[in-house]
Amino acid sequence: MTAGARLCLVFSAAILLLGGCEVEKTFTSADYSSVVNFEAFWDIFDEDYGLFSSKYVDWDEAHSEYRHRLDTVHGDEGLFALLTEMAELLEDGHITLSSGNRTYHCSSWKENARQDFLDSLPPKYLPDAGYIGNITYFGFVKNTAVAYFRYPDFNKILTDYSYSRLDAVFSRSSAIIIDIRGNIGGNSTLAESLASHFFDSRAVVGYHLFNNGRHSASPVRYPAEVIPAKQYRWTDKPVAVLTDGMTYSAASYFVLCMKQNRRAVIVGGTTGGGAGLPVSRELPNGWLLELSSGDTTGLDGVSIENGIAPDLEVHLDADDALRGKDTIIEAALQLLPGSKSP
Amino acid sequence: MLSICRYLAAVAALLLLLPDLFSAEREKTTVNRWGISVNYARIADHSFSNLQYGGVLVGISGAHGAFYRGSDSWSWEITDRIGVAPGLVNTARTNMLNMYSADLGYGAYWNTGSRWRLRLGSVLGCGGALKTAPLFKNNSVSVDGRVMISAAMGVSREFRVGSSVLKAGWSGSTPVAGVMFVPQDGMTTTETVWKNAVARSLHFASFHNCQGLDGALWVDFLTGFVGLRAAVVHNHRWWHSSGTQYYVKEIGVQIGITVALSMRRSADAIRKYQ
Repeated sequence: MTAGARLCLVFSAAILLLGGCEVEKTFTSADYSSVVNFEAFWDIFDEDYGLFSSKYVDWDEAHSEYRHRLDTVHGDEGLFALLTEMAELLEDGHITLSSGNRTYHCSSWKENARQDFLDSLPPKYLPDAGYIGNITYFGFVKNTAVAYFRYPDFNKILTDYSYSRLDAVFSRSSAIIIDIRGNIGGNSTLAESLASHFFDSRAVVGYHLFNNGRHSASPVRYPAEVIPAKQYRWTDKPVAVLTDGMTYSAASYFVLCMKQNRRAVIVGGTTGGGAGLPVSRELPNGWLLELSSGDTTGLDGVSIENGIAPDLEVHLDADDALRGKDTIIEAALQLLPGSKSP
Repeated sequence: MLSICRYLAAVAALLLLLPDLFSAEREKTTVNRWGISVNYARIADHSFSNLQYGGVLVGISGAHGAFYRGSDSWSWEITDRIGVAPGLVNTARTNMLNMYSADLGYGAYWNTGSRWRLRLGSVLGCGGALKTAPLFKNNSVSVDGRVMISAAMGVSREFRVGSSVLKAGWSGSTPVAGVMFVPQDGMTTTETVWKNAVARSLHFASFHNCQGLDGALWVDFLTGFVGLRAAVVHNHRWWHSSGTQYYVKEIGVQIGITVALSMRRSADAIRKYQ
């Protein structure tokens, strides 16, 4: 075979090699059909929602009922209202739906939540408070050797420098109060990180369970572990964690962690719960949905979705508050050593 | 049927190339090309959504190659590219992704011809992308990756312009077989780990579920020891299997520079190497 003939043959073979792209599907365009988006919304929950076992909601029945009503709704607004009404059945504060100009947050979950915190009271106990940002503060409780730390939002990151400032107070204290009342959660990693400063060995504090799709018989379970921090550990100090009914999600998870710390006591009200780890999904029309992808349980297998009971139940007393006293801080001080020393 | 034809064509091409494996010695000079490209990219990534995301992707690429010792027909080439696509927007214009990609490949080629040059070969490549969705909560980061064998070809024509050389050509590759990790069902990488779904996210590919054509239509202007390149780049990769739909499509322009490692006879080396 001549070189020219061989070249032609090889070239022909190469052309065949490069051919053959198949017809593409057009699934990637936004789809604004009410039926398509309703079904996608239902499917996403069916496959990914992790808290059905705690909610006692028949999701198949919800499909029948709301699919029937879908024929009577009009436009985006009607669809948005219908989907959010269906989501409301689950009473889960982690569920949100955003259509760009409308945002829905599930509201039924906190209708009966009890708030036992007043912003104005803790600062009265802290004559020399130090601030981390503008809402997180700490210091010695007046006339005691007890340190107090207010952490109202687990979206606020504590840097190494922040921990070093806390250490300057905590290491000289006889006991520590961590006040997470009204903390509606945030990043559970930050909750775990704070808890890690109170553990001197690795500890399993509960379990994370994830829905493994509608074809799965049982959820996937992982141990929730706290790994001790490498520096600034306060493991020899008694700790009181202050909670109320508005202590949610990552803050509830922090309470779950501290429940396994033998030096910690939980004081206040039952937490608001919130066990699901929220993740985001996108509907075919581009609306963004957030839902709980999993469940968190204690070592006993009980979900923390409906809250964690304190070791000592105390509520804010209105008369105390009028006198400038925080009933729950007072109760914690009674339990902790060093509350009478200067 | 088409897949079988492509497979037979690949085997035939390999058999026809064998006689050229050993041939005359030629001076070996490594030729390096660097380029920057600005492409319009469209991606569909089931790890975040079913919607297509589109936007500008800026890439920096390199290609480094030479003829094998003992051959003036067989060459090797290492290719690499880093791409950044900030702010890809979905078709509903409600969400945004940032994509950072990296690709690395090793190719072996058979070259023939003089003024008309033909290059055929195969490339073993790996690559992946890190994607972030700032509006997503807890699952805002996802990673995909792949290892692929691709069939590659290139054809070019040389023109004399005074004492310089102008070369124009097209080179490209098409996937043959490989494996890809891409999260699906709207999950991200982290979620696939949480849910023990890693196995479900691994996809083996061959002709039936992976197609594509990555390439460039280029013009090189070779003068002295340096070559200047302008190119139109087109990349198109498409995977579909077991419910997974994934594609990356790019079209854009590239400018680049080519230099030979050894300055001696470098213009000649670049010209022959393509």
